[in-house]
Amino acid sequence: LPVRSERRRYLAFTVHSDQRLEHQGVSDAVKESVHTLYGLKGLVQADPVFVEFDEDSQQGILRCTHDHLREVRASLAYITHIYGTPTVIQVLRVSGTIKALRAKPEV
Amino acid sequence: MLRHAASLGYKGAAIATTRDDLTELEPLARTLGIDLVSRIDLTPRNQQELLRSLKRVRRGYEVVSVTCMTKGVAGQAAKDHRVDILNYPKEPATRGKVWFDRHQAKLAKGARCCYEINITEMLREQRRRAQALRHLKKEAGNALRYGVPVILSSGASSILHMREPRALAALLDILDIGEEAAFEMISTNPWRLVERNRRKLEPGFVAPGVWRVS
Repeated sequence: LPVRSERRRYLAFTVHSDQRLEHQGVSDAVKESVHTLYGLKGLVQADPVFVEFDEDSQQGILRCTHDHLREVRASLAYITHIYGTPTVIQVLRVSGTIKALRAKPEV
Repeated sequence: MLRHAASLGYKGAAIATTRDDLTELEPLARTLGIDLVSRIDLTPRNQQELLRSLKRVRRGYEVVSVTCMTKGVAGQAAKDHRVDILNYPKEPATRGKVWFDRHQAKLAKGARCCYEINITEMLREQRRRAQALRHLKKEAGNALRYGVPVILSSGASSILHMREPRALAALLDILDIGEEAAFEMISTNPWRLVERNRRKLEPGFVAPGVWRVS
């Protein structure tokens, strides 16, 4: 059986902000936050990738490497502003596969 | 904010407000499944004021927190068993003078005081974050070294300052605090403190270890 070389974690999140934010803005803010806290090496290791972001519901799915989940959570919590607007990113649930993430109830 | 706290998964909330406000909030908290804890934050200017305030408020609140603005107050608060939580000034200039050093940690250990990490301090404006994090790291290190319980609180005054419990625990990664220790700080330690104080506030309590049974 093929074995995935790198295990991943998928985080479902929601953005709380007064402004309606775009995919690119949120993605840049997350990467910038990881870079600020853990540097370029941390950013490469955590490898945060936006799988999807629905601009209407302001909810999305972010992928990262499984052993850097805590760093990514910290970086998301560290975000206080996006484009100068006070913003909070709340992680709703975490899973090892997108399929399970979508099936899981919100916690 | 209570509704948001419930949606984030909190089971309890300590609110620094008057008893009347808490009574008003209680029905809502009960509906949401949140245990409300009464808390008072004291900011005395000197030791005498601290002692007077403690005498006045101790029996009325489940948690008493003291923000130590001077070294004298810090010394007195750390050795007073009526104080539950020690806090320090947020301004970096004052924090450089009054902080949770090893002497404070030794006194706090003896009096069973807790040291509080306020997450709002970690999320302050960019240019002050590094300084605040440096202070917090030193203080948390002292607390852990001397076995002083650490309490992690959101310190939130609005919904935008609130984070889910796991996010708060993850933020402590910046201070080199492990995941298990962080969970203890956000869950076990606060509950232990509240339960201990609730027992003390029961009518039969006389002194630690002494109860009136009839």
